[in-house]
Amino acid sequence: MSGAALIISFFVLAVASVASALGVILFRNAVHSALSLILTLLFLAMFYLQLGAMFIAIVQILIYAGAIMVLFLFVVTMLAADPRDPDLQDRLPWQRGVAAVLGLVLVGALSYLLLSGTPLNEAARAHGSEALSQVVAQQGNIQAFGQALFHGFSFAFEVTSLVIVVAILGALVLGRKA
Amino acid sequence: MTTIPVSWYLIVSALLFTIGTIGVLVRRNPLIIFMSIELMLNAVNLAFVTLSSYLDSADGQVFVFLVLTVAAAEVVVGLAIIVSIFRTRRNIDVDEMNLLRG
Amino acid sequence: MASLLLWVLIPPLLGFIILGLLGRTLPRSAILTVAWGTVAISFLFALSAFLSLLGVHPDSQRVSDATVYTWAIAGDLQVHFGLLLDPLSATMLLVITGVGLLIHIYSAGYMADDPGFWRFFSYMNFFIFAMTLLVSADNLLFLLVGWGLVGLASFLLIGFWYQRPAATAAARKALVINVIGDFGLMLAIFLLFKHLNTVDYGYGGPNCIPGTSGYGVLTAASCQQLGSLISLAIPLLLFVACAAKSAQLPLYMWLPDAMEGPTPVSALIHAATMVTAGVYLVARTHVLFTLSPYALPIVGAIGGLTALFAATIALTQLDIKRVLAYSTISQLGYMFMGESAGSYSAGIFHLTTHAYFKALLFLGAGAVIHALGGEQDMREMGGLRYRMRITFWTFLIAVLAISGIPPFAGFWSKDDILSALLTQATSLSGSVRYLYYGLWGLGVLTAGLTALYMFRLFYGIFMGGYRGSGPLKHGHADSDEEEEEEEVTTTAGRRRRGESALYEIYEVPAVMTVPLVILAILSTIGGLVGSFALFNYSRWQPLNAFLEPVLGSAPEGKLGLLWLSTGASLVFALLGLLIAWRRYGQGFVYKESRNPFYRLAYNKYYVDEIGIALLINPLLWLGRQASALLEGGLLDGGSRLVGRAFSLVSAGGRRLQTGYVRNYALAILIGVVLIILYYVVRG
Repeated sequence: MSGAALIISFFVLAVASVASALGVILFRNAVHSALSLILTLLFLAMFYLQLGAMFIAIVQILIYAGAIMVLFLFVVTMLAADPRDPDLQDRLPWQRGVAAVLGLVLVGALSYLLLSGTPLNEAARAHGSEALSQVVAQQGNIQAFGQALFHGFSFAFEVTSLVIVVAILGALVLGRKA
Repeated sequence: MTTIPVSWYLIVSALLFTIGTIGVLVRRNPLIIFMSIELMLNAVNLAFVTLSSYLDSADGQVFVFLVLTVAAAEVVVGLAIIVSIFRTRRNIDVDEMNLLRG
Repeated sequence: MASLLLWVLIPPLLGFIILGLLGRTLPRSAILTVAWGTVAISFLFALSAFLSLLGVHPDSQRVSDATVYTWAIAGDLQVHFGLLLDPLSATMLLVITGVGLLIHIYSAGYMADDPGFWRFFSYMNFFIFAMTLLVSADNLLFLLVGWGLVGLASFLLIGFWYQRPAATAAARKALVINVIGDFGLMLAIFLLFKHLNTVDYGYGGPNCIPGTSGYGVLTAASCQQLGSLISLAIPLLLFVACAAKSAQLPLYMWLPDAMEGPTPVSALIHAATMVTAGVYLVARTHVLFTLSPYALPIVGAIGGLTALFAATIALTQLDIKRVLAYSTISQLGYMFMGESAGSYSAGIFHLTTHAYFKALLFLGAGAVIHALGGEQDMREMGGLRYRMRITFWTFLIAVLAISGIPPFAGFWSKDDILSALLTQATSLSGSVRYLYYGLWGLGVLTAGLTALYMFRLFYGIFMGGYRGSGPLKHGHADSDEEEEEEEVTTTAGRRRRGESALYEIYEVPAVMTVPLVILAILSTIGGLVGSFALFNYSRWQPLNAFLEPVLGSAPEGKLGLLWLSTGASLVFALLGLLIAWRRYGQGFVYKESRNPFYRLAYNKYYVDEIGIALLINPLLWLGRQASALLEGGLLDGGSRLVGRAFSLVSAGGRRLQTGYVRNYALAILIGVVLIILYYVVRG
């Protein structure tokens, strides 16, 4: 991919992802929000591909878009509340303005820091056999990720299985008929 | 290979994170609040992947993987809680859940 | 040898514990076995300690100091619980346990009908323990422990009939005044420790070597230079304690009120033993009193004034126990006068003989009260000699003894004190000798007054015709109930009723008369251990010689001076006797007197009223004001202010707790933005 194509694709993806993210919080209907979120997740997966994170991009689509968002949609349709319920007036109308201002300040401050702050330390890059690019070149993308996961983070990986088991049990207990 | 500066990706990440935050603050439907939280998590994931690529290290991707599983677990439990609240109150406006008011 | 004293201390304590815990369930005989037995054992050990001391020669070796255990070590301060056996403590222990045993025996009869029988004996044993601890301790700290405990025992026993408001009020008064004394003693101990670094008596320890430690206050005080202020403050603070415990002016007010307690208590605590603790303390620490030239004259002046003051009050009182109470105060004043003249053994001698005859007087009065069912007013008595022969004779002996008629015990000891005063007056130079001349004059005058009021009492109780109307039916334990006798209006009818009522009065049982007889014998011959200085034959003064290693030798007087002093006091005593016989010999007749001096003395110089007006009411007012201001205004107001401030703050603060989760999330976001902005600003 040429440099210009890369930059164009970045900007297209950035605009699209931000727009769909705004859709998540602006649509009144929860189903629309969920669909918008799925779009955002897909655009993020493309970002990951652009950054060479093949496995993560696939997992993003499979787990987020495939599993989690299906769960969301399921619950949304199950609990569909009338969005135009007159009783449901916003009791904190001023919070919208405050949140918007604070959000702008936050983005501005973070951008300022990112653009004007000290550049990242080059020495922090991995080198030699540690480097991801080398392992990818020798063994392939998925193998590189697997090595990192099971060499450095096997304990954390095992703990996630426990977390998931606990979450399943918790969901079962909460969802049971009282 | 021309590269896009890291800070651009990070700014996109910051934008997504802020949008998620504002969603949490202004929406009253807990499902959408949950979606906004997912948005925030994904913004962080983008930052992780960006820095993983920049630092040429797989560790960031591993973190993304862990965040994904934790997010999945969180969504499962959170949705179960929302469902059980809906069962008892027939209403899922977060502003109605204000029994802890001072 | 001093460890023998442990066996004097322990039995009464055990008796107190046994009776206090189990007394309620024990039968009467078991209570008496424990109470009498423990005091008897105590007496036997005191006697054997005394005899073993007598066996030691030469006299200066007659001392034994045993540390039983070490209570506390804190830096320089080492507090041992130690027992000191020397002639002084041996004498005191004999008096305490001996008289105490007799009064225990007597009490079995006097308290026979009281529901608190076991409680009474438990307290009495406790008192014996505390008093023996006081005299046998070998340092000032444990003396203070005993000092406080006898005050407690006195409080418990004065308030023994706690159903009576008067008794509890008297008990409270006694405790408060005693605590004033305890405070003085404490301050004296603190001063001694600060300046001499020890609280042990250190009697018989190594001699004073300047710059070394290890000897007690009595030796240390004599060799270390104390400032003139300190050397006056220490004895005066000690004397505050003595004045409170021994009822000297101005702290005497509790003793007459203490007569609310049972009569054996008055005999044991408030006449024979506890009130003499002050006399003992002055004798024990006399070295400290000689450090300052002003200490002893002040002691003497207070003692002399007290003696005369109390004697004038005693002249007018109608309650027989109150007469005896004021006479006790007066006699204690004598003892302090004797000690102030440097003749400490004279004070101890009078203490001993006084214990005999005053105990006898109180027990005799108790017998009369018991026989009359609780009647204490002299106007309701008279003519009892026909019905109570033993009491009559023993009481007569005691009255003769206290009036100083030879050869009874009081004569010798009182004579010893007066001679010592006159000797001191003539041997001193400077203006202070006029003080001693004055004290001698006071003593002689008081001797006459003593004979007068004692014979007034005697005639009032035993001579003439019976003026009362028979024994009260309800007994002395609750005698403050209103009398409900049938109305006897005419004088003639009253007398006729009286004459027949006399035959309803019976002599008290043997358990009460036996102690009376023993004490009468002691009051008769008890003086023989004392001063025969009149006859210029020093081997006839065994008590003086016995006490000399502890108390030092009294100044010797000229023979002519001694005869002069003795003659004067005897003349005054006989004069008092004569006046009493002229006025009251045919029976006591109470006449309302308008004489202002009489009214003044009859009302006890209005001391209680003045005290209430000048001391108690202002203090109460101050307390109420302070309570209203401090507690109501400052403390309550302050705490209300703090409370209101918090409630205001939280009324504002609780509005932050809106209950809206989104609102809380906003707070988090504000925090995050502030942190990020901090980095932006820091750059």
